[in-house]
Amino acid sequence: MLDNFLRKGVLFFIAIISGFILNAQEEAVIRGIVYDKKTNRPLADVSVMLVNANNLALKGNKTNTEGKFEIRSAPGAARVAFSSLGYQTQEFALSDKSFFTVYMAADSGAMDEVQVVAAIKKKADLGFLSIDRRELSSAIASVDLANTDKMPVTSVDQLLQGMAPGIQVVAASGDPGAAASIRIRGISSISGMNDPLWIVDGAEIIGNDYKVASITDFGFSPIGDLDPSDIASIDILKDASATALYGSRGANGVIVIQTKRGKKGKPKFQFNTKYTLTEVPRTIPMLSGDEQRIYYLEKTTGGVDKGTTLPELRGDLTRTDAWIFNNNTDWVDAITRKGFYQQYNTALSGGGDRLSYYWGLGYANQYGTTKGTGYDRFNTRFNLNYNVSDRLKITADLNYTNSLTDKRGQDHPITSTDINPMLFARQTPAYFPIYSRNGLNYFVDRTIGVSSHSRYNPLAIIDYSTYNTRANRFMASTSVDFKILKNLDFRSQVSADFRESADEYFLPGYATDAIPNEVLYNAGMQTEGYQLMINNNNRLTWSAIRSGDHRLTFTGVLTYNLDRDNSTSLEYYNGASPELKSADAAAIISSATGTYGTRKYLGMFVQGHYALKDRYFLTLTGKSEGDSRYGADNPYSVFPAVGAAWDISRESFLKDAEWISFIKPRFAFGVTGNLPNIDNLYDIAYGTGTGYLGETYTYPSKFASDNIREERTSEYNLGLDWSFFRDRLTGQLDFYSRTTNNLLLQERLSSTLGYASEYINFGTVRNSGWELGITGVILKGGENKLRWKSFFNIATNKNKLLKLPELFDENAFSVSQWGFTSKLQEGDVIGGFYGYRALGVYSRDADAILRDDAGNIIYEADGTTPKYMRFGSVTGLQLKGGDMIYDDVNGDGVINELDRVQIGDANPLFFGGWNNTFNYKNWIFTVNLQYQTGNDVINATRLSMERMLYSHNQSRSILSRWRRQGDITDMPRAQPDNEHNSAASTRWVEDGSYVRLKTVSLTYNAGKRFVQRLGLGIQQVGFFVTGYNLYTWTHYKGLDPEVPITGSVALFGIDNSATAPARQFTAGLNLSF
Amino acid sequence: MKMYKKLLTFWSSWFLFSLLFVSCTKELNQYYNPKSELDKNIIEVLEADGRFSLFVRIIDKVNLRKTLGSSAIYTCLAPADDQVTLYFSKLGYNSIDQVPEALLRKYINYHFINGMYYEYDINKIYNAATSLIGKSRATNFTTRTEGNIPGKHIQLFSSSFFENQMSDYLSLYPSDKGEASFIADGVVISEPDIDASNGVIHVLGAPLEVTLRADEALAADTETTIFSSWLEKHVQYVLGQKDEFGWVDTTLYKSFSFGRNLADEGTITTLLVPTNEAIKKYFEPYMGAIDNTLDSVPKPVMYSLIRATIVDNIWYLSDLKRMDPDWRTLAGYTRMIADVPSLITGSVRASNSIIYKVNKVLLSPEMHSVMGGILLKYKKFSQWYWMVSNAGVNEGLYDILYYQHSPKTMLIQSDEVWGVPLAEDLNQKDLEWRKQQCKAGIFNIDVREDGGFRKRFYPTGYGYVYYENGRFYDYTGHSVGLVSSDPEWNGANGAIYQIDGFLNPIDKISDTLTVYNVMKKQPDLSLFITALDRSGIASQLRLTGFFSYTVLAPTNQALTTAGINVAAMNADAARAFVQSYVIPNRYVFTDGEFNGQIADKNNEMLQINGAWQTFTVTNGAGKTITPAVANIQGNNGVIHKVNSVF
Repeated sequence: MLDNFLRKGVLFFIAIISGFILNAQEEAVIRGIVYDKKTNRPLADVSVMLVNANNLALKGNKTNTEGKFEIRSAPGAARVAFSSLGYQTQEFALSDKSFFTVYMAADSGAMDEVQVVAAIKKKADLGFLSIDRRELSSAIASVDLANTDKMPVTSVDQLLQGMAPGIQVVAASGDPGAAASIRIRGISSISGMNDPLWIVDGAEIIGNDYKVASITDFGFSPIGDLDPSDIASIDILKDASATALYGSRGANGVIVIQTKRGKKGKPKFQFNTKYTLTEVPRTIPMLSGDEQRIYYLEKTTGGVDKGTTLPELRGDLTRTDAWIFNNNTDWVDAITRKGFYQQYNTALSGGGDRLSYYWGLGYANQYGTTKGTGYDRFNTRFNLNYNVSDRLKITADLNYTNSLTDKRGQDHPITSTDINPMLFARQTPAYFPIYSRNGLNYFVDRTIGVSSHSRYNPLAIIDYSTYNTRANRFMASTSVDFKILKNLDFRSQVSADFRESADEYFLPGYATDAIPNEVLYNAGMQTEGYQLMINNNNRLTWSAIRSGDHRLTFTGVLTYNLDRDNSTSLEYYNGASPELKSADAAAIISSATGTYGTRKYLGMFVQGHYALKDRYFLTLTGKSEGDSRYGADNPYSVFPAVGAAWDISRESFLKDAEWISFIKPRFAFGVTGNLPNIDNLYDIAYGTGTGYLGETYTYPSKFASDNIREERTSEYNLGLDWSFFRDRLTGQLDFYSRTTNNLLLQERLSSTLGYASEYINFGTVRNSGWELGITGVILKGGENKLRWKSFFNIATNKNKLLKLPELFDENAFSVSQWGFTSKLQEGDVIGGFYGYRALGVYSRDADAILRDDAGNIIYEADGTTPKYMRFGSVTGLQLKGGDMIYDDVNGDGVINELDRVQIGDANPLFFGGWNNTFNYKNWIFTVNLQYQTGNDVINATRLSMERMLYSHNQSRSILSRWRRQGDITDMPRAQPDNEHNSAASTRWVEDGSYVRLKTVSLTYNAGKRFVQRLGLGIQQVGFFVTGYNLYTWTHYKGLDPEVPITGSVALFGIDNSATAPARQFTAGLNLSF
Repeated sequence: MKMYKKLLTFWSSWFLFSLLFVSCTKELNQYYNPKSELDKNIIEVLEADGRFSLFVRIIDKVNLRKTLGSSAIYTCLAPADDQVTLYFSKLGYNSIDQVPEALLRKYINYHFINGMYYEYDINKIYNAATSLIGKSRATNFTTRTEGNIPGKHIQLFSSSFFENQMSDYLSLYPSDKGEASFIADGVVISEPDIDASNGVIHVLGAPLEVTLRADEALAADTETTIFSSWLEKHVQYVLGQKDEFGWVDTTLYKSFSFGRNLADEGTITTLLVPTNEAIKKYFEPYMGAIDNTLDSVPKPVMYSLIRATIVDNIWYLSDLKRMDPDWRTLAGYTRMIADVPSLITGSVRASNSIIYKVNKVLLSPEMHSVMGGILLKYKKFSQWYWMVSNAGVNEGLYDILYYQHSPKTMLIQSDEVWGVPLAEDLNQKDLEWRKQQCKAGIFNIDVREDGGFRKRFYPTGYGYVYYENGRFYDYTGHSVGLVSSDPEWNGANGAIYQIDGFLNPIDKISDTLTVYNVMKKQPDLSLFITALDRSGIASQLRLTGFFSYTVLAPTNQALTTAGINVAAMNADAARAFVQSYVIPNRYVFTDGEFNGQIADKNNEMLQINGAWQTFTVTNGAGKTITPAVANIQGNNGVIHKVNSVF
C-alpha cells in the first residue's frame, strides 16, 4: 500500500513539474505601463496575469518601479488582468495589442477590508478548521515566530520555550537532536501519555507515542524532523473546548503547525544561513587527582589509617605503577569541545492567481559539545496550492527528511551495563591517565583493583565505539477544497507520515579491556523499525445563516487514522572480531526483540458556530469516535464541548471608551479523552515458560480488560481577551479547571486469582490554574524613533489527586530513584516526593547525643553511656560529628522510615517568558527571557558527585567536608559507610527556579539603496547575530535548573547528569532574490 | 494615556531590575570551589611557620614536597630545627648535607603518620575501643611507607590512655612524662593540632628518633645480645615480589624462620626476651652437656625458647597481667608455668615490637618436658636426640600448648649401648622397629611419684614391661638392666633413666599375637578354643586395634573335670559359655590389690579380688575360680589360665 502511495505521489509531483516546463514555452511579448489613476504616477508591484477563458491563471509578472511590465504570451491566454492591493482589478481581452497603458483606480472598500484583516480577522488554526480569533471562545495561544529564525534551534519544540502562556517546555538535554518534553496544563494521566498531539498542515503526525524501537532510548522529538525555517505559524490548543475536536487524542493539548506556502507574486528565492558556536557547557568542577586521592583515602580508612590500604594512592612516586595513579586528568574536559552548528536553507516560492508554490531545501549539521555527538539533517519541503477554479482548490505537500545522529557520547544501549561517557567522565578517577604509558593507546585496564572505572576511559569509549541512528521521514499530504454551493464547502485531505530509522551500535572489546564471554566484549546492538500513520479528514462546512444579525456555521469532520509500526532489535556480544560489527558475527545474541502493531481510529465531529449581532458567539461541538484500542465493551465514545464569547467592545456603553479597542470575556467547557500508552491492555495475553524436562508451556498472563475505556477529562475555561490603547496593549487571561476521571490505575487482586492486579478505570485528578499573556507596544516608534514591543506570559498549574480506589496498588505506581520515593495518595500532588529533612551536619560528636526536653543527656541502659542518635534502627549506626543531621520527626531517637516526609514537589509554581523586540531604523534587537519558579529538583547529579560512596571522583564541593571536631559545614565527612549521609533528603532537593536570558539577537536589514547597489537581483539582505542561553539566574547548584521532566509521571524533575544547554552564539545571513 | 505611562514606567523598571538581578553564578562557583581556611598543605604550613625550615629543607632535598603535600593525608610530627640538628649530630653528622639521602628519607617518612589524627581523635580511637586489649592496640599507628620500604609502627598516647594505663606507659618509657597529655613514641607533643589541608601537624617537644626494627633493637641493647645472636641463627633471606612486568625484585629481604618475621615492619609482636643473665642462669647446669658455651646450645633448643618469647600483636604489661583475653607465645601458654609480668625488668624500643626484658628464661612446653632432657643431653644421647628430632619418638612426650604433659618415665640407651648402625643409617623398616623399641621404654607413669622402680608391670605403648630386681622384662621374657636408679635428667613431668639394652615392643597389629592365637598355641587350652570356635566370637578375639580383652581361659583339665562337653554345645550354648570367661578390656594383675566387679561379655557381674597369680574371680552364682598362670600378654589383651570352671 505504501509503495502504491509513494508511486502515485511521485507521478503527481512529476506532472506538476511538467506543467511548469510546458508553461515556460512562450509565444509573443506583451508590454505596458501602469499608472495610479488619481496621481498619474507609475505604480510598482502591480500583478499582471495572463488567464484563459476559464479564468485559469497561466502566467504572471509584476510592474517595476517605473510601472512598466513585460510578459511573454502563453498558449490559450484570453485576457490579461491587472491587480494590486487597494486598487480595483482590471482585465483586458488579448488581441493583437501588445502594449497596454492602464490606470488603476483606488478601491476604498478593499482598503477597509485590509485594515480589518490586519487588526481583527486573524484566524486561529485549529487544524481541522480555523476560526476568526475575535469569535473564539477557547483558550488558544499563538506563537509569535518573528525573529525565531535567528535562534540556533534545530527543532520546533526548542523554540516554543517561553513563547506562549501555559506551555511548559523542558529540554531533555543539550545534546544534538535531543527532544524536549512539553506539558500543556499539567499532568492528567498517571498511566498514559501527557504529551500533546501534533498537527502539521491539518494532518496528525507521529507523536510521542512513537513505536520505533531505535529511538526509544534517545528522546525522540516528534517534530524534530521538521525544519523550523519551514514553519509559518504555530497555534496551541489548550482547553478541552478546542481540543475536543481531537477526542481521545487531544486530552493533553494540541499543537497546530502550518508550514510556509507560496504567495501570489513573481518567484522569490530566499537563502538563509547561520553558523553557531556552542561553548563548552558549564561543568561541575571535579576533584583533581591529588584531591581525589586524599578524599578517597579519608573515605576508605574512615579515620583509622594503618597505611596498608590503597598504597598506590599515597603519591609514592617510587612505585613502578606510579604513572597510573599520580595524574590530574580532567575527564570532562577531555571529552568536551566547542560545538559547532551550521544551517543552510533555501526557499523558492511564488505563484499567481491560480497556482502558488513553496519549495524549501535545508541542510543542518551539528557537532555537539560532547565528543561523539552530532546531528546531520537534510530536508526538503514542497508545498503546492492550485486553484483549479473558483470552486476547486488542490494542495499537495511533500516533506522528506534524512538525518544521521551520532550518539557515541551519550548513554550507550547495552542493557546489562551502564556505559555512558559523560557519566564516566565524572566518575572515573582523575588520578588515572588518559593514555597508556607508551602514549600510543588509551589507558584502559580491567585489572586495577582501586577502581572498577579503570576500564572505563570515556574517551576510549567514544573513539572506539560506533553508535549511529539513521532516520528517514517522509510526510505527504494532499487536499481538495470544493465549494459545493455558495455556502457549502467540502474539504478532503489524505496524508501519510512515514518514519523509519535504524541504529547501529558497536563497542569493541578493547574499548573496555573486555575479555571473551564478557558482555562488553565486542558487543553491539542493531535495531530497525518503521512507523506509518495515514490520515484521512473529510470536512463539510455549511454557512447555514449569514444575514443581518445572525450567522450560523456548521462544520462536520470525519476522520480516519491508521497507525502501523514494526520494529526489531538485536543485542549481542562476544563478537568474533572488533572489525565485524554485526550481530551475525557474534557468538551470543543476548536479546532479540520485535514489536509490531496496528491501531485504527475513526472519528467524527459536528460543530456549530453561531454569531449574534457580531458580538455574541456560541460554539457547540459533538465528537464521537471509535478506536481499536478501546475495550470491546466500550467501542465508542462521545466528547461534547461548548464555548461562548462576548465582544463587549462592540456594545454601545463602551463606544466612548477610546482606550478600549477590544475586550472579550469567554467561557468554554469540553470533554476529551486519553488513551493509555499500555500495550495489549484490552486483550488477554499469554506468556510462555520452560517447565519440567525442558518442555515449554503457555499460560494466560493477564486478563482481557474488555471494559476499559479512555481517561476522560472535563475542562472549564474562563478567559478574557483584550486590546487597549489602540492595540498597544493586548492580552489574554485564562482560568481553567480540568478534571480527569476514570484514571487508569492498577487494583490489587486476591492472590487466589493468580494475577496480582488488574487495570481499572477509577480515580480522579484535577489540574487548575491560570495563564496570562500580555503584549505591549511600549514605544510606538516611527521613522528615526525607537519601537519597543514586549510580550510577557505567565502560567500556573496546581495538581491534586482527588480520588483513588480502595485497593489501589500503590506498588505499581510507586517509583523510587536515588532513595526518593513517590507516593500516590488522595489529596497529594502528582510529582511530590518523600525523604528525610536534612538539618545540616553534626559539628561535634557530642552534638549527636540525645537530650530530653530540658536539655539533659539521655543515657543508655547502663546509665553512664550517653545515647546517640542512631540511623536505621535502635541498633543502627550511631551518628557522630561529621554525620548528617536528620529531623527526627517522631522523636524516637532513630532516623528511619517513620521520619520520611514529603520534601518536595517537582511541579512549578509558575512559568513563562518575556520577549522584547526593539526596532530602530534598520536594526532589530530582541531580548527573550524565560523563567520558571517554585519547582523542586532532586539534584541527583550533585548526589552522585557528593555522596562519597564509591571510588568515583567527586565534585570539588566536597572539599568543604567535615574533617575535624568543631567544623561547621553542611558537607558530611568522608568515611567507609556513607549510605546514611547520602540518604534521600532535603540535602539533595533544591529550588529549581530560574530566569534565563534565552536569546539576545541583533538584526540588520539593509536599506533599499544598499540592496540596489549590490545588484545581482538581490531584493533583501539581512544580517544577524544572536546569543542563546546567555545567562541563567538561579540558586540551583546544578549545571542547569532546566531539568528534564521525562521518566515516570509520579517522580520526575530529577537532575540525572544530562548535558546542560550551552551558551551559543549565532551569526546569520538572509538573502532574498 | 497617563495610565499607559505609569504602565510603561513599571514595565521598564521591571526589565532593568531583571537584568541587574543578583548574579548567582558567583554563588555556584563558591559552592563548588569552597574557600577553606585549610588552604595550605602540611609542607606549606611548616614552611610558613618558620620553625621547621630544616625539616622542610630535607623534604625538598629528598623530593617529597608533592607527595607529602598534596597526595595523601598525614599526621605530621614536626621537629623544630634544633631537634633536627641534634638528632643528626648524635648520628655523627654536622649538617644535613652530609646525611645520606636514604637516611634522610627514612627520617622524613618516620615523621609522617598515615591518616589524620588530631589529639581528640587519638582519645576518641582509644575510648571507642570496646575491649581493654583493643584500647592498648588503639595506640598503635604507622608511619609512611615508600616503595618497598615499609612504614614503621609508632605509639601515640593520649590523656585517656594515661588515665587508664599509666603503668603500661611507665613499663615502656620509665621517664616521667610530666604534665604532658599527648606523647608520640615517648616524645612529648609540645603543640598539637595545627591544621593543614592534607592532614594535621603536631609539634614535637624533643627529637624523635627513628626506632629500630625488633631484631636490630635487640642487637643494639647490651642486655639482650645472647637472645639476639640466637635470632640471627634463624635468619633466611627471600627475594622480593614480582613487578607488573613479571620481573623479580632481587633484593634479599631478611626474614626469620621461627614462625614470626621480626624483620617485617608490618608484623607487630610482643617479645618477652630473657636477658643475657637469665639465659646464662638457665644453662648453667647444662654447661657440661653443651660444651660449656652458650653457642653450642642446640638449634632446636634455641628455636623452642625463641618461640616461647613471642606473642603476636601488642600486649602491654597490664594486658599480660590481666590475661583477658588469654595470651600465649608461639610455643604455648607460658603463663601456666610462670608469672610473666613479675619477671619483666625493662623494655627495648622497637618499631615493630613491644619488647619486654624478662629475668628468667621462659620455657616452651617442649623444653619443660622430658623432651627437654633429650635435647639438652644431645651429646651423650645423640641417637635418641636424632630419634626424637627425626623419627617421631617425641610424640606424646609433651603437650604443645598447655604444659599439661602426661607423666612419663623414659628408659634410654647411651650411644655406646646403641652401637651401630646409627639411627640415621637405619633403613625404614629397622628404623620403625627401633622407634618401637625406644617407645617400649617409655612408661606412661612418673616412677618418681611411684617411689622409684619396684616389682610390677609398667604400661608402655608397646606392651607391659615387668620390672624386678634391677631388670626390665618385656612380653617375651627378654630383659635389660637399669644402669642407675638415679635419673639421668629430671623434668617437670618425669625423668630419664639409662638402661643397657633394648626391650622388645609388642607388635600391635600382628595376627599371631592376638589373644585367640596365643591361646591356640597353648595345648592345654584346646577345648576352650573349640568352644570359642563354636561360639562364633572367636573372630572378635582375633581383632587388633580398638578393642582389647581379658580371657579367663579354662584349661582342658578344668573342663574335663567339670564334665563339660564343649563338642556337644550348640552355638548359643557355646557363646554363653565362652562369654562368661571373656571380659572386655585388658586387665593385667600386677602388685596392686584388685577388689571390684567387672562385667563379662554376657553382661553378668564378676567379683574379682587379689593380685598377681593369686587373684580370684567369683561369678553371680558364687562360684570362684583362680588362675593357674596369669598375665600372658597378647597384643589385643591378656590371658589368665584358670584350672576350674564356674
